[in-house]
Amino acid sequence: MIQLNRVSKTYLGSKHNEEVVALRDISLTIENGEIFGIVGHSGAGKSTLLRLLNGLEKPTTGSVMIQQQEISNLDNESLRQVRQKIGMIFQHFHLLWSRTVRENIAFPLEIIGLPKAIREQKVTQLLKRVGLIERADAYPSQLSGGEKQRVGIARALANDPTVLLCDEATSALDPETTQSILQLLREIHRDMGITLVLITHEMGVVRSICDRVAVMEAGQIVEMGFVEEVFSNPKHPVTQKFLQMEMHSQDQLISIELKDGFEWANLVKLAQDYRVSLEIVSGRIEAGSKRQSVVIRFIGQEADIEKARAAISVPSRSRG
Amino acid sequence: MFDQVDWQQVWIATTETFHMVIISTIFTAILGIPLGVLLVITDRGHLWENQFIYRTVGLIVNTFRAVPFIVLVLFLFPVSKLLLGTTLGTTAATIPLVAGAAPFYARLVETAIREIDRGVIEAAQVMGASRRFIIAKVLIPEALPAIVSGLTVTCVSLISFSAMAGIVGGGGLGETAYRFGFQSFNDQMLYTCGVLLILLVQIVQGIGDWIARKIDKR
Ligand SMILES: Nc1ncnc2c1ncn2[C@@H]1O[C@H](COP(=O)(O)OP(=O)(O)OP(=O)(O)O)[C@@H](O)[C@H]1O
Ligand SMILES: [Mg+2]
Repeated sequence: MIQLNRVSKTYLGSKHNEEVVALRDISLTIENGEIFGIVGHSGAGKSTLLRLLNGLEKPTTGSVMIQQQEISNLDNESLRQVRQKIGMIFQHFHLLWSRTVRENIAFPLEIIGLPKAIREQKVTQLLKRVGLIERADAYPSQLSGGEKQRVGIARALANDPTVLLCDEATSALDPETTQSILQLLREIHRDMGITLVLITHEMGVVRSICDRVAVMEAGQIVEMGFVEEVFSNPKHPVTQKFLQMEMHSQDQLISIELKDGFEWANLVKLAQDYRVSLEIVSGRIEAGSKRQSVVIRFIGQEADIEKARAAISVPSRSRG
Repeated sequence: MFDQVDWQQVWIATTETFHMVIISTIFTAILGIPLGVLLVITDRGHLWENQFIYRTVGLIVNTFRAVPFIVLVLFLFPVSKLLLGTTLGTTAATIPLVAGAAPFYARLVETAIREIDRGVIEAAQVMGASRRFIIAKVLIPEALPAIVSGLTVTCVSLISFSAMAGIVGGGGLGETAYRFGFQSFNDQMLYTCGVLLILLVQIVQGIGDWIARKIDKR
């Protein structure tokens, strides 16, 4: 069980003596075996909250308990012991470039001083678990994002943790890869009964995997509850906005006849200007050629997609 | 064309240069790597924050780097005298060589280690790794390609430093070029030693680059 009791966290600004309040008076209980989601805008304090759970940050006031142990009072040695039972995965994976997949996964086992033979056995097991047995001797620079995150997960699971913390673990991945990683997390949860705490800014992720969710804003939890309840009856404006964003988010394939002189560079600007993500599914953009036909996949709000489409396509004559 | 080259002397000088450069490179690495590590981990918010050590090491490194090498050689005569009983010969020359190169190399190691993503270090901490473990298994291995290329650069500087140290009594190709070449009006001798020094630099650079490329998995 993870228990936060009236936790606040204040950072001292580096230059002047202004204080940044990252968390205000947070109380929260996460049961063993639960999948708990935390959503919120950038700067809401999500990462800070997660980092309290493995003692990377100490609370300014209040207490953080994991399995009845007060994390903030532990000496270095006991903290290291506790950490070995709390796995963590990251948005940018944080793998060691100098080690192969196999060696990366062995890293936490080396920390606890497991003999080499047992280590190898364990690593092979983990490689199978995350489906990377064929890539065992590759280096991280040779892997795709999804594969890197699988290595991250295997590494986090190596010491059979009871808790797995995920800080935007799927935010750097495309929708399909995100689904496959979530599927893997689901299976791990099913097989190991591990407690999952995951931060995300996508309500879709919460919907597909979490039991409960907390919505954060400006260092506070503004809404918390079972996912079905929160999703069917969101009370706080921030929650409502997050849900709206998810509902109106579309994934459309549109075939477009491009305006003359359209170039690659315009595409990047387009994505920024209209806050959509886009990808060319078929056709090519070549500098200098006219009336090129392409099929583009747009992901974003419906209205934004429409505007972006209008901005780059030749006005259709048939509509008069 | 090489009729005036005293090959015997050139051979002796070459082995002396090798002797000076190899020994001083080894000691430079032995001193420079820990100093470089220290300059990172004692910095604010790092693994082993310690303002006193950070400032002191920084000050020493900067002081040695500010003194021109040839002045350093003269300054360190008494140290050579004290430790080795002499200020002459290749072994005596390694003391100022190391004193000149180690602080330079420490800065290169520092830069190499700072290049490592903080997230990677944090990931190791989160897994319960101790400081010692992180230094040995994360900081050094992850920065190794840059640590090796830094040592190559340092070794090349040591070759040119060793030629200068030679002139004030260290021996080696520098001294031979000066004494048997320049002072004896023997151009052939002068240029032979010069060419050998250039060759040496090329070989060292080539080997260093090759190793760095071999271990770089990024
Ligand atoms: N080490 C630090 N020193 C000073 N301020 C910090 C530090 N870490 C975080 N903060 C501040 O605390 C607040 C919360 O940051 P936090 O990283 O927890 O947000 P977040 O919800 O994870 O955001 P994001 O979605 O962008 O990751 C921010 O205002 C941030 O600037
Ligand atoms: Mg964050």
